[in-house]
Amino acid sequence: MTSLTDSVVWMAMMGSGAAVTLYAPPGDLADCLASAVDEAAVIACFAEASGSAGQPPTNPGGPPGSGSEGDLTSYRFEWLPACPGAFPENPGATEVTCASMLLCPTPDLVRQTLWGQRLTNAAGNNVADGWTTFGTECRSPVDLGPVAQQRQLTWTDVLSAVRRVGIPPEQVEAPNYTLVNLETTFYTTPAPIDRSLTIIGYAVDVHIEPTSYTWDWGDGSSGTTTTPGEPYPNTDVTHTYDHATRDGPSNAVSVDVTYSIRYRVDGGEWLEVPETITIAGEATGLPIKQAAAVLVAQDD
Amino acid sequence: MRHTSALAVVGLVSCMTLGACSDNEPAATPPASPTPSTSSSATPTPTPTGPPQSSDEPVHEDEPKLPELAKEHSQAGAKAFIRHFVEVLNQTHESQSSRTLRSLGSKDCEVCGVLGDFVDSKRQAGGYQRGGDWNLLEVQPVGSDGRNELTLITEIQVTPGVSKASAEAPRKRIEARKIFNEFYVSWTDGAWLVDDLRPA
Repeated sequence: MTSLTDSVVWMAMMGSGAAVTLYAPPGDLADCLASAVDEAAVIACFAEASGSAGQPPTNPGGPPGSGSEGDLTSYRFEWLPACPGAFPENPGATEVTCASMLLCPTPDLVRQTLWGQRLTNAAGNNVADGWTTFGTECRSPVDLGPVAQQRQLTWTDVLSAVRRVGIPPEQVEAPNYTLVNLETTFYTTPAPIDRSLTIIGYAVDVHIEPTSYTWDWGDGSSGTTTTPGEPYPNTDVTHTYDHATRDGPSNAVSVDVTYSIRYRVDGGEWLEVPETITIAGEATGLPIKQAAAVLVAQDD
Repeated sequence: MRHTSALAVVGLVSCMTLGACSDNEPAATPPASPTPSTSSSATPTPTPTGPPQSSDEPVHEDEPKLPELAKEHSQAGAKAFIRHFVEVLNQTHESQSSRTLRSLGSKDCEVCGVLGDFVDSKRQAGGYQRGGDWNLLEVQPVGSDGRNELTLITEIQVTPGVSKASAEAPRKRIEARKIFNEFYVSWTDGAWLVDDLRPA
């Protein structure tokens, strides 16, 4: 059984999705107990006050997360006969029979155990949890088996997952120093990122592509390009400084990289995430020196 | 998270230790004794007998004794333990003492404490319960999450009765009805204990 206090989120079967907050808000136990006439009523009060903890979800569908934005905890579920010999992923598990599965109010129902396995944690990372029981319920025999798909993956899920996973910041490639009034070449070396993630139970391939670069030259000016620049003698991205930093700290040069994201689910068609992600770059120190005029004798 | 373990472990242990995968479960499960001999009549008592003379918790020497089978680390032992729990619960209606009932719950069993408080508060306030006993019709294991934990489903017939929460409270009728409960028990320090108890 799950913990009483766990804020459990119901999510997907592998390749399908169901999400609903498991537990209802706690009720008022004292008020309920005040009207309880016997022990059975007391037990019912306690179950209700603890948010129907331990009971299977009555609505395995709905919004993701436990109420917190970006919570990517996901599960997969399977209803099996409430029998000692029925375990998830076992062939024929739904065919198992036993005496306990007949303990229901009406003969047309079969007592079933809801099994769940957590697939990802709140950060969206895969986890290796075992199967857990989430209580029993008398249900129609036709409802045995994996929990059906309840929810589609959306691009916001992908964007949240990419943010959770993170993209490393870029650094500006610059010379060891440069001179005032000298057109100086800069560049950075971002690369497309390809990741395979499990997001609310879906297998998602993500392609992250740098699309624009916002340069902070450290002298109060900035600029945006659509190319990352290349090493000198290429002059795709250049900047000219007006003042030296010889007597002060080095100039701090950085580049923020904006990425676009494409994704596909279970090897399907590639889809675009309509929003981009911008990752702030790390600063690179760049001394700017003043070129001094020197008289040189010339022999004729 | 309780009752969680790897699937392989669940299956293996259930088969090896609890006989869940065979028909070899010990047949020595004692027949249910749904209404202990010491409990009061199931028929509502029209005239309340009033609260105990002392506010101290009463001690009853004729409390149900834990059967030998309930001391076994087996499915049959767990089932016998549940039957004993029900007998003790019924005994509280007469004894108005939660001491033994509480002793059958583990430290994690919050609902056991709530049940104990229900008994004690009624006694301390001058209330009582007549009838409303649990007649255990069926108890069956539904699964195990490990060697020492077991989930059992019970089918219980509640007998009719009456209850007063306090000396001043109105007398309420306990309706006869059938209930299903899930018992979560664990084998702890050589004995079965109730970890949780829920409507099923």
